[in-house]
Amino acid sequence: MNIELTDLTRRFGRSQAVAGVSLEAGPGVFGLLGPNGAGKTSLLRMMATVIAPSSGRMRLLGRDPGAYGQRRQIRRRLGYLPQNLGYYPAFTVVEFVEYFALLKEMTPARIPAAVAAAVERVNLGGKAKAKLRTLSGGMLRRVGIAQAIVNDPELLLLDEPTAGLDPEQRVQFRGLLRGLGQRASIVVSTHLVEDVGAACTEVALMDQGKIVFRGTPQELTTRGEGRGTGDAALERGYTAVLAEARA
Amino acid sequence: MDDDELIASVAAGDDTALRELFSRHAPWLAARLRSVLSATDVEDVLQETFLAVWTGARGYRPEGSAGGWVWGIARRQAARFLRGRDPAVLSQSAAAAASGSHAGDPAEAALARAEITDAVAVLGPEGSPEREVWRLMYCEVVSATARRKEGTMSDPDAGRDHPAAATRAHPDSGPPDVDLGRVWTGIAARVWRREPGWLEWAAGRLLRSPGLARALLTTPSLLVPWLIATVVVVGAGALATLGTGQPLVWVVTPALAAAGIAYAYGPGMDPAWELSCSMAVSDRMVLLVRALAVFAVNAALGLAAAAGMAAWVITVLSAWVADGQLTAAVTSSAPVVPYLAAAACCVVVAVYATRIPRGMS
Repeated sequence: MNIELTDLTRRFGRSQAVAGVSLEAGPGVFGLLGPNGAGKTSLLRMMATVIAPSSGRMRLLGRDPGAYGQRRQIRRRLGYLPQNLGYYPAFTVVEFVEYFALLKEMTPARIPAAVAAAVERVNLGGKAKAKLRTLSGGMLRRVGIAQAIVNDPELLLLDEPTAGLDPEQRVQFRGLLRGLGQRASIVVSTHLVEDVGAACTEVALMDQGKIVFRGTPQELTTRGEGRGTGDAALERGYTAVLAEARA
Repeated sequence: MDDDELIASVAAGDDTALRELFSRHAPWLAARLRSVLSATDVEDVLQETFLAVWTGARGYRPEGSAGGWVWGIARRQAARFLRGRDPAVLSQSAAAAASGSHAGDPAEAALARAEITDAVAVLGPEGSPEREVWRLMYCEVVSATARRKEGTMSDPDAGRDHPAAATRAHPDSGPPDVDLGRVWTGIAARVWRREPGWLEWAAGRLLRSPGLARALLTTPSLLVPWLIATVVVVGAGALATLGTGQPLVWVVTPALAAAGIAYAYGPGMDPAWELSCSMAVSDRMVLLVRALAVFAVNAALGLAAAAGMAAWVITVLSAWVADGQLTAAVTSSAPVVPYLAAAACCVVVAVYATRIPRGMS
């Protein structure tokens, strides 16, 4: 298992963002659904080793992120797209992706080809030498995805990856996810249920820091039959499970 | 934009123009080369061809066909590639074509044959009236002549200058077993590659981490606070030196530098802080190296300024000793001036580096 979480919690002062999450996941695309404030981003940040859990046990790629040496090994094999991608406006697309490839301690000789491949995979080849400050929001999002996949990660964590992408780009992105999910574990946090239905092999629904549903997108759809509200079947499943959890 | 304009843009360093040129010409080049080379070899030859276009575009003269020029480069690359191989591995057809002017060079013969095959393909499908006329007029006559005179084809390079015709003969995608996307990625990797400067290279060697060196020397969010810390330290040095004999400066200035560095550490100044925290090169290691670099730069700046000013005082002003007042004024202000000059330079650089680009809020 690439992801093993046992009773994981995270507090920020008095509020508990993540309240006892246990999860196991191997290769594939794992969708993390939930309303705003459900704890998705905090869970993802813990898995990205950006913040430490308040309690619980976490193993990523068979290693303990609490130990410095093992955390470094995890980070070399990790790809992470934060919800709010910060960037250096004067960097070009290639410089930005290359910078993070270096910080991931990729072999310098491998970097140029890996950067070119990542930039092409997100269809930014025509903007490779454009400064980041000149790019649109959707393009910046794709730059973020490029830096996340540049090291061909075994664990890829994407927080709202399709925010700002147009429908065509979203379709392409789902194709990219399916390809990457053949060998890597991908966790996609989103509130767009159609992304989950199209690209994810498994889905978890979070509410108030807890996982209230885990199964396939089809199973989530089934839970909404005759219940729930929404235009799409998956949306009805989503609202039905949330209503059940809050009841 | 036509091919000539594209090549002019390539000569000016426009990689998007190279990309467009590649998408226009790589498919037919691949199709033509594929008849004499394996798919993997075609990919290698194409990559070298377009890299040669990138580096040699300034030498292009728009007198003939741009496609012909590109094919000329591809042909030379392919010939060089083939000559590096054991002649025995050249295809049977190439060996069969190795007669006449190319008798001693199977590589040239193979390429010539590919060109003719490609040019003939433009006439239409196998069995079409045009192809039949060509076969009767060219193959039959030449074969007969060859048999009689032991000669060969009259123009082995036929089709070399007609790549446009070849383009029409082949679909845009190129041969199915040649991965043009992979070829372009290989080209892009070389074209987009950014060579580190000597300072970054040296820092990378010293720190044994190219990532740390890049973080230290190129990241604006790191560089600006570094400069601010330097300004503060050097400015404090200048003020403290005004009151001579005050040892406080040696205590205060490192603390000020440390405060500047601490100010730069964290999400407040570094827009990509969240990402940096998930990297194998630890953010704390970056902080440590940055602190060392700031102190080292401050020390070097102070020493250089003091040494420079001392040399100036000794060599120039010593000649003016006749005027006692001037000497006194200069010597009393001399210890402060280098600090102030260095601080002013740092302020200018910091203001320039932190300026908001026009049109940005």
